[in-house]
Amino acid sequence: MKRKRWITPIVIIAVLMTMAGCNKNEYQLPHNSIYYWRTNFNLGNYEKDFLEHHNIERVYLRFFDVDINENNNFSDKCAPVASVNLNTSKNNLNCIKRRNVVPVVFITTEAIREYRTFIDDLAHRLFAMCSKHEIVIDEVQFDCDWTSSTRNDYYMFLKEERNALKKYFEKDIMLSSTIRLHQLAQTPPDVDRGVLMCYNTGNFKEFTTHNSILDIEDIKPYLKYLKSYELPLTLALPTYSWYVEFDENRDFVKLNRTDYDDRELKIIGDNVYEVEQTFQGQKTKYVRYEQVSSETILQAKRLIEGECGSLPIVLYHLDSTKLSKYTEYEINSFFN
Amino acid sequence: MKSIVFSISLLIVVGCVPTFACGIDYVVEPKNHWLFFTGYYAYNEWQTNLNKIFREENIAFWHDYVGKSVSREEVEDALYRENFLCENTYNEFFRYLINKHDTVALKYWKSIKSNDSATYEKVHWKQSLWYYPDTNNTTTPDRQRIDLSIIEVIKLDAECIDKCPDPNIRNRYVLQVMRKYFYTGDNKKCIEIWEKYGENVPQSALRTQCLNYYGGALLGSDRKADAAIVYAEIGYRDVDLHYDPNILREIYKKQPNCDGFEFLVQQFVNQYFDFPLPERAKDFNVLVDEIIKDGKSENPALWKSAQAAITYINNNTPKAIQLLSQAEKMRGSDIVKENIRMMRLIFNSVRTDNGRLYEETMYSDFKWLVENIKKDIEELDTIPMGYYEKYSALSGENSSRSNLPLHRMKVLRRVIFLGVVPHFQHTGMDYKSIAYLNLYDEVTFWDKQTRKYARDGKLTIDTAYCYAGNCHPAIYRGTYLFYAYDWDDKAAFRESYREFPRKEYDTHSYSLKWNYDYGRHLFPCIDTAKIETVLQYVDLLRSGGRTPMEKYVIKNSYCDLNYFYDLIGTKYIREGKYGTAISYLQQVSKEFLATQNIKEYICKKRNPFAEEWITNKTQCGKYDLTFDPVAEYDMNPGKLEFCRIMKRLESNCNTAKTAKEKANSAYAYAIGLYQSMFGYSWALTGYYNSYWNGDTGDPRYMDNDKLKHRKKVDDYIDIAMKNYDENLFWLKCMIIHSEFSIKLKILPYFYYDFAPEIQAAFCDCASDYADNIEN
Repeated sequence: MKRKRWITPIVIIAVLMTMAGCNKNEYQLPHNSIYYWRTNFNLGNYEKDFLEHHNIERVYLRFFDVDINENNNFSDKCAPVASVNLNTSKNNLNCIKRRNVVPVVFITTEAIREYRTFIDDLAHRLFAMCSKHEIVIDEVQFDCDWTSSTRNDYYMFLKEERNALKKYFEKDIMLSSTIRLHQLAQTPPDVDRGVLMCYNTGNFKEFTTHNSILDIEDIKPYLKYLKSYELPLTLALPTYSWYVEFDENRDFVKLNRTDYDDRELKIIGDNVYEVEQTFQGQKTKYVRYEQVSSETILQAKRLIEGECGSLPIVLYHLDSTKLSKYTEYEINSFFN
Repeated sequence: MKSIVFSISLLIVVGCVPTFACGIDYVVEPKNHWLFFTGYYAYNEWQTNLNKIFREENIAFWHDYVGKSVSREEVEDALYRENFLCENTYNEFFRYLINKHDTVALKYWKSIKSNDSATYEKVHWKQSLWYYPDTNNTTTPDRQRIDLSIIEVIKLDAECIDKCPDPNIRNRYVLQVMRKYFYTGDNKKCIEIWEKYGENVPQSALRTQCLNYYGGALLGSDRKADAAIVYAEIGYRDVDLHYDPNILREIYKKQPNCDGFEFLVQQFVNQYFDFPLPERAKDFNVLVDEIIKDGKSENPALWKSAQAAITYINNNTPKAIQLLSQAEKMRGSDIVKENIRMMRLIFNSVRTDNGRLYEETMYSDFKWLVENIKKDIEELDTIPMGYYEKYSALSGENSSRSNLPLHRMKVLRRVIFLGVVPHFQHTGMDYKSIAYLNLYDEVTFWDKQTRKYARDGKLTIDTAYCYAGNCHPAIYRGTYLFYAYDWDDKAAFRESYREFPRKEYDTHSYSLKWNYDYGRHLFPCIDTAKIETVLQYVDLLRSGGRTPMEKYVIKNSYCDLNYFYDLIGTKYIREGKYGTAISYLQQVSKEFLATQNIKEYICKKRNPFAEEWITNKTQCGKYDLTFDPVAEYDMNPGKLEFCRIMKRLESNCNTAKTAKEKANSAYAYAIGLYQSMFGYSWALTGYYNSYWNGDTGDPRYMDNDKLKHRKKVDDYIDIAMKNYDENLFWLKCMIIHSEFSIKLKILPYFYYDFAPEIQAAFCDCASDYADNIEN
């Protein structure tokens, strides 16, 4: 009898804990996720293996961007641009359909000011894309570099878009939003989850920037907002690299995501190179190679999680040429 | 299949915006599409050209219907802009019908307008950039509702047709009822309507529209052969049906002499031209052999000549010629016979085994083709067309306003650009290529009035702009050449032929008189050809030709010797042979020079002997280095005077009595050379449409000789410096050196061993100069 008395409170506590857990996990997240940000959806063997091997359960797939329409033949004020080409092999698509797919839409700040003109069209297009390619979704993510001047528009957009999505998909679609570090200082948007972008922390256009993708010093000022941030977060970590190109006056020329041939580069600084002049009129004189070391990524992760506890991780982004620069051990350590 | 049906229905749906009453495109007579080699133009003319024809026909019909009692604009508004028809409408056309109690027309229009509003939303989505083509079975709830609403709202059916007392309006009901059934996927009923009522619909755009739905419905019912016949009748080309020998075989079995074969067979060849699939060619050849053997076809030449065309596309010209000879001996319709003749000309133009007989073999067919083109153009001149539209037509584009067989021009293009010009280039007779390009330009040069304006120097950019409607002026700056002829790259003498001309136009130049003889094909070729080639060509021109072909070509060419002498003279200036240049330039009339596009650039303000760079600097107040340019040039600016002065200066360098005189002559000579070759007096050695190196800003003809010219300038400056030891003069000489050196990013004083005071003075000067350049 005594024993039974002892068990009962434990059972009650266990039930309560389970209920609390359920409540907390209303918006369940698989642990490992990754972005797919290219315009042509095509997975190579490395990428397919990566998804399997690292147990990627969620793919954030960029569907299209929304920008101001400059095509005078159409009256739409804003339009989808750079839509992902999903006309690929079934095998390719099935590779991600087996996982949770979250369509991501990037909206420019110019376009978000005109959000009223595309609320319905955007939902309709997402529905059409998902229907055509038989992609079942529960969540849509919006990516917008909103600031205090566009915040209200963006928040209103999210509110109205949620209803529009419900109309087309005939069910509640959860919303998530990217959160840039500087946006942490603002009231969070009314979404179900935020994805904290732990990259693009510096100004890549400046010649003097050392690494614009991620510099620990750049994230430190924002850590203080994390503890009280009223939105469940996922942490996005950068596994990409690029070359930032500058002319002879050290003015920004462009971002280059393809790799240079080492023979064309002469090192003149820590990660700055002088480019061999291979043709007349070549603008690029210097390049800065930016890649984030696994140590820096882990350091950033530790700093952020030190403020708000363990977070689900999403890597940016699925690209064999970039991911292969990290070892399997390093990738695992990002996720764990 | 679903995707084809869907694609077609999508085109139709998009085509019917903004109103249900508007309708899809209409096509020209199929015979005008008759050509085996239209590969480059096989797309979308059907959709884009002729929607307006139906629109015009429709407006004209209703305008006549009301006895022209209201303006045409009111009719157009009613048909295409008014969304509703209600009792209190302000539209005069509808008001007229209401006032006249024309219940028949009012009933028709009420029905159509109500359908408009039902369909608008569906169509609107597809017209939006947000549209994402989905599959048929994934329509949204909203869109399903719209589809249902269409079926509910559109009360059109066979009864409407039967009850309508007016035969013309009845025919319009036929279209709308077919449209409704097609739109809502009821192919069976769509086909029934046409088969019951179609016979009475007269030849018109309306009939073509009906047939388009009929074809679509047949295709949707998997009756491919029947659909192909219908599409052949209306000339619709954007379906894959035509590229299937089995469908052709099926049609042949049903109708060995089907009218549509001329269209279908040419479409097969066109498709093969664009997407050569060997197995299709093989099947087609088997089919042709079967048909010839069967002997039921009254047009066997059609099939045989198509076989020849396919063989030609497969690069077996000798066999193609052989097959074509067989086709010539067979029975064939007139258009097939004409086509065979054109094919023979094309085949002969690419032959390499004819040797001296090359031109002779082509002569009669070539002359026949060109004479026919001239007749086409004369006929075209009588058709009211916009300038650009006419130009497009002359370039071989089909025109909605013309029933002319403009494909002849396409054939001439192929003969000249892909046959004759490469042939003469390969055989080292570039001057003959020029001759044919000249003929091509001359024969296809716009309409006569424009040509007259152009030659008289009366055609200004503004005039051209007015002719052209709202086309971008860039089209008339010579760049149209590349727009219209982007495929004929084999015609170039040099790569530069493909480059755009220099782009530093100022807004002022838009008002310049524009001479089109410095554009198109002839000019870039002779501008970049060697002098010897042009001289050979001019000899040919002056001789009037030796063979019948040469005589014919010259007779149909632009032969103004002013034009050629000016160009030859200019080429000699580029080589620094001023004496020889003079002998040609003095034969060029002043009147001719006044028509040139470079006229405004050959002026006192661009005196080639002026130190323009020093003038610029003195404006900054840095230093005063005045120099009196050779004044003679200001009196009579032009290439001829420039050559005379340069020749005299060159001679002075050798004969001058004093060192100072020698130095001054050498200095002036160097400046003249510099300014004409590299400086702001470029018009002495180049033309507005000459081809410029986009990287260096120098003319392309200079690419190979640049260093030679620069060295010559340096040499003359050195002569000047050796003969006149005066600081200021030396400074000026050094500035010229630095003009070059700054371009080379090398400071000149590294290379000279100056007296200390000169070096000091120069360093000051050079640093000021560099400051100015930077500022």
